[in-house]
Amino acid sequence: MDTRNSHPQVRNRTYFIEILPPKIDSDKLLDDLDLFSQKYNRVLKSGFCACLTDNAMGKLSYQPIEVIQELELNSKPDQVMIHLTTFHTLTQIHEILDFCLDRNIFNLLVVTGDGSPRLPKLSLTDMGAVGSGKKNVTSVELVKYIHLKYPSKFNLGVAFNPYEPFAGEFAKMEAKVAAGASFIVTQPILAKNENLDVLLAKYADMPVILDAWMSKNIHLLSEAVGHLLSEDGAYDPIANLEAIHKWYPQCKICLTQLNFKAQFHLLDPDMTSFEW
Amino acid sequence: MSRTILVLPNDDLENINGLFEIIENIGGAFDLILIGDSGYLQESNFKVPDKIQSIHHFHDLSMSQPLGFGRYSKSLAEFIKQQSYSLVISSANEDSNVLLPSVSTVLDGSCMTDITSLNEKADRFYVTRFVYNMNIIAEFELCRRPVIVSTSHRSSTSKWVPIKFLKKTNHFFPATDENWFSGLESETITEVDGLRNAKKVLVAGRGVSGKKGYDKVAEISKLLNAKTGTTRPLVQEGIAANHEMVGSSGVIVSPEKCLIFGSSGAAPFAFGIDKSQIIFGVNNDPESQLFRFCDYGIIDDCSLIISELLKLLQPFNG
Amino acid sequence: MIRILICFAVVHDTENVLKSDWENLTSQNPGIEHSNMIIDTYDESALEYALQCKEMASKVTCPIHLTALTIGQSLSATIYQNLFAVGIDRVVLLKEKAPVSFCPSRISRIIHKFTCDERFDAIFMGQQNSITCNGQTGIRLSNLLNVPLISYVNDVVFINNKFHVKTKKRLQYTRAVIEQPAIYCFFNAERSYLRMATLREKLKVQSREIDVFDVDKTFDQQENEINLISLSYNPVTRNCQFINGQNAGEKAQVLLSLFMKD
Ligand SMILES: Cc1cc2nc3c(=O)[nH]c(=O)nc-3n(C[C@H](O)[C@H](O)[C@H](O)COP(=O)(O)OP(=O)(O)OC[C@H]3O[C@@H](n4cnc5c(N)ncnc54)[C@H](O)[C@@H]3O)c2cc1C
Repeated sequence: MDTRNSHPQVRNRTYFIEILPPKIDSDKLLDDLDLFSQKYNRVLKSGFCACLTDNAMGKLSYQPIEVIQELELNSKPDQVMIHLTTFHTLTQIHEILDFCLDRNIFNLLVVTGDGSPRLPKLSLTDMGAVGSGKKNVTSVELVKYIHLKYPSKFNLGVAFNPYEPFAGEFAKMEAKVAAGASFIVTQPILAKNENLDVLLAKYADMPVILDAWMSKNIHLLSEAVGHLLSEDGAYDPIANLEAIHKWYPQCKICLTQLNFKAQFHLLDPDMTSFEW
Repeated sequence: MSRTILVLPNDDLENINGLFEIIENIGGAFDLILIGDSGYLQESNFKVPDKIQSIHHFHDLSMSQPLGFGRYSKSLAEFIKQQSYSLVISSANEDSNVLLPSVSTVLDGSCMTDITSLNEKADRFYVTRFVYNMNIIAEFELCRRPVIVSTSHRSSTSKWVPIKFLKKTNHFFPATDENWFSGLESETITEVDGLRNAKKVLVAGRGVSGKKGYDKVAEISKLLNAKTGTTRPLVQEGIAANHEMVGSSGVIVSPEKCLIFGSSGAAPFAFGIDKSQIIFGVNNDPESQLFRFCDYGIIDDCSLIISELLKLLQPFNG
Repeated sequence: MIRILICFAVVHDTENVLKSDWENLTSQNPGIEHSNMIIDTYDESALEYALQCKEMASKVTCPIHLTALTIGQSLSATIYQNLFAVGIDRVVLLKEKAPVSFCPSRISRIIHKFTCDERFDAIFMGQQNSITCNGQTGIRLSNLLNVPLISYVNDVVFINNKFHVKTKKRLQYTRAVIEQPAIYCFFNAERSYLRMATLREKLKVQSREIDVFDVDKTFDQQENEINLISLSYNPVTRNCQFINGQNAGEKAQVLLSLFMKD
């Protein structure tokens, strides 16, 4: 049976698709790299945008740029987005940014990141932000820094968490936008959300990409949204994706934890060009 | 064969009383080897149990050697051999945990540091200690003589008799002349904010979610007149300062009350809080190892508990 | 050429073992075979400092060669490939079928035998093993080799062909220049983790192999100085009483009253 026909709402849309580079401690590195390149090429060929994570959820992984470089993958402008956390040395940040420019990768999602004791961390001195009253480097300082050192070169996105208390999250968003953010990506959306409605009204001119959680793993999803979700009601990722389209038709969607075997074909990917 | 207790310069009365308590269940007579000229020797209330037969006082000439014990351990080993001690017991600390294995190696005996109990059955010695990052207790037989052990057991008991009734022999170790290093320099690490001796300590672990969470914990500390400590990830993320880190690589705290938010209770951290009198822990994972070290636990999101505590303490603010 | 030997143990990663996982424990076996195997964290410091010394030496004329050595039945490719990738020149497995975990004198004798066959200018290792907590291997080896032992090593640099060491014991740092071959035992060092290899470094070493030597049979016949009698779960060091309540507010209130009580 062609299951595509049962989900007409999700087909022929523009999607951002998150792909995780292989983990550092993988005991089948070559297989993992092979799988990564299959997923990456499939996303690009279908006309979607591949979003490559930077040590997602603090799990140590190879850097997106290393994988692109070593696997000699092509990158099309607008069809690759790279996540960038503050857990790097300054030299690494410059290596990543120079590589991106070289490969026409202009879209970066800048986040503070979960970090790990094994990772280095940018300092306020690195960012030229000593005396800013800040105690540590967040995405705000990194966005500012990238604009300062690479003026008008990158399209920088920042994260929005609709599950955080309203006032704090909006104050942060203001700082991120003031620093030079030009698009926004949310945490997984599971229902119509008041904070998100306010965000969309307030930043009506800015692309807001909503995250759709495509895995049935409620435990991981709970971690991603920062609160415990009931494990009783089985979570249906496709139904949730359809609902997001309905609730927020004006937004683009990023698919996290997409199952390439069971779900990719449902998207009926046949996009001729990727549009932001 | 005789046995002996070994007292090192950094031991205090509680360490020594702890050793006396341990030997209560062990047969035979004991000697007491005192190394260095610590304050307890001058204290008129320094007391020893009946089992102690004589005291050997080693006037320290090379214990101050800060890099290793070198020939010092050989001299001590020689003395132990001469006296035919079958058991040597000392309190566990950074010095003894290197010195005792060194001595044991010279004598080809059995050694175990940080034991939690010592038993003697039919002329065999059995000890227990924590292994597997403190998750497991292992029992061992120490098969060769002399058996040399260290323990962190402490006691504030005062039931023993004063020292003055005992015979004391003075000894002098030859000063060692080590030439395998040069340019020796020492520097005392200054304590920044009295965390080590604080009566109340709050600890922010990684679960407090970043700097904001840490700041809130620090605010609660202030309102409770407590000091703030942290776990290593927060130091490495630049959220907290190095001197605030609690644990085996940081500060060992021993407050009356210690309240920990969002830590997994990893062994190196737990080592730093375990001397607290009452430990409270908040973690959203009911399986967390942290609760193993707690007297009181709360299974909940620590940001909620932190916010509620701040609300409750608001009337005291300012 | 300066040659450094780094001794490392591969141990269970107990940080990711759940409380319920310890239920398979038997009196001789912790029952956590499924858990990840990692390089002991103290040994990670030793490896990282050896790599740093090698980097420093590469800038001057005296190169440093690094041999990493472990004892056990086998060594996973993930671990040794990572060691090659970060810059260890040679990895040696001394193959020993019998468990050696709680036998510090046996471990040190096996390493001693290996070091007699090859010359090393420095031996780096973690001061303790986080699983067995023996803390004796370096000490015993120093006695067997009759070379000085430096414990509580916190930092080492290689300048002018010499190791400059910093130790941290209690509230004191000590610095010295080491003039002879010595054993360096790392404890709570400033850099406690081994660096991570890049993907390129990892791919380059995929076909490299380790040296494997069988441990001399004579070691089996020698009596251990320590016998493991039994293992049992450390129930709890304290008896945790859970504070319950309808919501966080109620729990916080009870917590606060207990915390403030004299
Ligand atoms: C040689 C060596 C020495 C070390 N020395 C030290 C030392 O001195 N001090 C030290 O601290 N560490 C030390 N470490 C590191 C140590 O092993 C641990 O990695 C560290 O203590 C972990 O810190 P944590 O508990 O804060 O973080 P994690 O282990 O990440 O634990 C976070 C905990 O928070 C809980 N949590 C998450 N979110 C929430 C929430 N919203 N509400 C409630 N709970 C939540 C989680 O369930 C988890 O249990 C050392 C390591 C080595 C190898």
